[in-house]
Amino acid sequence: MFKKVLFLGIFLALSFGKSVFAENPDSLTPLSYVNDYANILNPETTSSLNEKLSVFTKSTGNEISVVTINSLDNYTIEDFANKLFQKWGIGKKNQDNGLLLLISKNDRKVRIEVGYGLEEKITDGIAGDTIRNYITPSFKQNNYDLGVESSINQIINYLQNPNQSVKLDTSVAKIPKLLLFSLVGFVLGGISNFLIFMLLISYLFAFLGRTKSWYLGGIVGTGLGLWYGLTAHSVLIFPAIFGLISGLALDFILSKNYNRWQKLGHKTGWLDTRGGFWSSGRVGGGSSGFGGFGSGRSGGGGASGSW
Amino acid sequence: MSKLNLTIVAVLAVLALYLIGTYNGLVTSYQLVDQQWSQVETQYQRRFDLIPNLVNSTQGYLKQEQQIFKDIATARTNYAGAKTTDEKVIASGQLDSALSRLLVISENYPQLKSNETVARLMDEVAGTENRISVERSRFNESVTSYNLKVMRFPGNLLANLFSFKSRPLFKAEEKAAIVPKIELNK
Repeated sequence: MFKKVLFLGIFLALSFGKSVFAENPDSLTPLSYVNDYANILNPETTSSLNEKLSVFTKSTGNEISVVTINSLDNYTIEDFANKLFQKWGIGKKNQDNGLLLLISKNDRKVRIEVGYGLEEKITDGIAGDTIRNYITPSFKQNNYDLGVESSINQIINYLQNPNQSVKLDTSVAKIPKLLLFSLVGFVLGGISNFLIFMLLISYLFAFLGRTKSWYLGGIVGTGLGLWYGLTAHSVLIFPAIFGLISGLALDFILSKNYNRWQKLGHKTGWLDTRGGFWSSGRVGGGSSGFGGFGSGRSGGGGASGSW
Repeated sequence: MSKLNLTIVAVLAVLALYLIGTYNGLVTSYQLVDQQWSQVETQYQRRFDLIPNLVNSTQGYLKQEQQIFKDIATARTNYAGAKTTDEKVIASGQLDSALSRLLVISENYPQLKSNETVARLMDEVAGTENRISVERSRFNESVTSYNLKVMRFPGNLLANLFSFKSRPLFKAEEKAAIVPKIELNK
């Protein structure tokens, strides 16, 4: 009796054992940016890479994931990578700016799967180069940590260069919009002078923000101060100085934020910001955390390799 | 209106809404299939455009292998001349087969493989083949989704009424079905 049970137990273990070791794209869930299911990376590598990728995602919006598995089972690495990419939705929705580095330990195969949005920066050739130059040599010597770290650094490098030049919005183009708004206000009627005044002030702030320099604020501030001094008091100096300083400071803050917003890729159109760049544009806190991926898609671009 | 009349009107209204919804669902599914097919053709075109570059950079290394380049040229001409979708599919299958043979032949020429430009081009070709395969499988998914709407009850009654028919799945050419595994990094 015992022998039968033992035999049955071994039989069951063997038949289920294979599926325990082999992963498939439907069964895996993302725990973080780096998912070392095959346990080939040092914990320090995993955590430092997670930190780096978290910062990278927060600052550029691109989502990079590293996944190691034991075996592809019956899938080709292209099929596995594409299905996993789709299931996890790596990259932001509609931007499709995701990238997946998939490593299958037992098959000795690797693939970089590139989302639609990143295909121009990470072409198939660049992906292949990255594998040939940074992954294969290190992996051949069983140095998985170096291979993964150096290739990810290289990919981040490719994504950040060439830098987009910061385009300056011409404020002149915004004037017709403002006139239109004013006209609409008059036509609709019932809008007090105060509202028009507020519109003008917010437009002023928008204008101040878009100029890279910040002396304009000083000039305007001085002008306003003088005007206030003239109309309200006979003393001109103090309001003028106050206007100068606050105008300079205001413009400086607004211009700084505008540049930061531009670099982050936030919309800087008048409608989106309604004249003010009051926040510094930083999304979320500085702490690293994994909140899941953003439903990005891939069309099968990228390259595969082996070692 | 009497209660009976009201009930009848309500039932008819619900039925009408259902019929409209089902019909629109069929139309949408049908269009999605066409849309997905154009994705496939986009990738065919991409591969078609890659070929001259690939031929130029490999021909020098593969002087003895003239036959393969003749085959590629023929297949490429056939694709350019293909007008109907069916012709395009057949021509594309020939290209599939010729290109995979080229990639396999290249394996025997280490000088070719070590050339970085060629390696990147091979990546592009392999990448395009992969994109074709991804779009084809999405095409088949969209066809299946449409076919289920056409064939399942009670939608099939409406489908028959408006002559919505099942659409064929994409089946790879037998010759092109076996794609050799290319390992550039041995």
